[in-house]
Amino acid sequence: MTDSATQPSAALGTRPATGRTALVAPLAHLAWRDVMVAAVVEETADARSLVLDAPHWPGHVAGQHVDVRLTAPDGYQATRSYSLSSGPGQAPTITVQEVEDGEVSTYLVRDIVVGDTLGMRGPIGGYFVWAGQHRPLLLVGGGSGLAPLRAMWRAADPTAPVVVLASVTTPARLLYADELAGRVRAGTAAATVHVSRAELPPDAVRPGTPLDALTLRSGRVDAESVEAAVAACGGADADPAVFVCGPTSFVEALVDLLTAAGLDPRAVRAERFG
Amino acid sequence: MSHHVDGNAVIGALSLALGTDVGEGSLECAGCGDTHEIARTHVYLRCPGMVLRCPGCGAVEVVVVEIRHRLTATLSGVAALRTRPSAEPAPA
Repeated sequence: MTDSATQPSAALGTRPATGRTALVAPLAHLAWRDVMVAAVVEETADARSLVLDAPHWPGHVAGQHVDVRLTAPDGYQATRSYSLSSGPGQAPTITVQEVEDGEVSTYLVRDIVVGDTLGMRGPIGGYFVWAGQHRPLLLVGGGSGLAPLRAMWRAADPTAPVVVLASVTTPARLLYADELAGRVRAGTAAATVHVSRAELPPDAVRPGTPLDALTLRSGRVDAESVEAAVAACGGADADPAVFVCGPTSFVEALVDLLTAAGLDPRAVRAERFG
Repeated sequence: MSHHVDGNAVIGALSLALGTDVGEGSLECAGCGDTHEIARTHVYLRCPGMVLRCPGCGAVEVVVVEIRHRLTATLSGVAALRTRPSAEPAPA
């Protein structure tokens, strides 16, 4: 028997041990880990995908995200959330678009190279996720909001319709244009791309280029495009799974348009990133 | 000023602070009684810490502060927090 002075600390000492197996183990994916950048894919002039080498990655569901943490030499840390843009079963990949004065995004887009490490925890999230059930899938993305939607179309049941509605400021800023065009040509997706801030240049759509396969429209996403996209899913009665991701103002506007097109707002899952 | 993201951004930190995965969790606002997924809260990141506001009335529900390895979650505006009904039991 130990003396009374050491007893409390001994008793306390046993509690984290049992607590650790009960509580911490299911959250092990939320511990920060250093992961290495295994590959870099330049997506557009200001966006790139980072394929991460995460040996203990448990796998993810389309739509989940990771938290990324950078640590400066002086110890200053900055944390951001990034959607996973790779499909289930694939190596965790994030797509980062540079934002003005973004202390994290600028580093990830301009400076980081293959072999560098960064802090990461995840996969995270259980709301904005798509497990690939046999249902029509309507994916609506603004700008880099396409990132989690790529994971979803990769996860989709190939025999169910996938309808993509995208909004970009200029055609050159469309993420995954080649992949999206490939899906449209293969007949596994329909895609409409709105170009919000520029008139379409006359040479934007050249035969044989990715944009040639996509339906391009000038101006912001409007009721007409939303209604067409819902119809392409088989209508509101076909109970499509609907995911909207983009800047907050875009998401708010699109949720209103989708509701006006007959969808139940509770069936529309959204992710806003600022 | 109304530059918010949504609750998806804080699920990682909040799960760690609460000791369970709240990715599909919901909150009941202590102010207006609205019940909503945590993912649907309005989150303000450019504060000292992360502030979750009720999408119904705008009241502050949760504040999460993460400094180094120390997490603090203040749930002053929450009447109830629910994890998803069929939460997986912890492995024995």
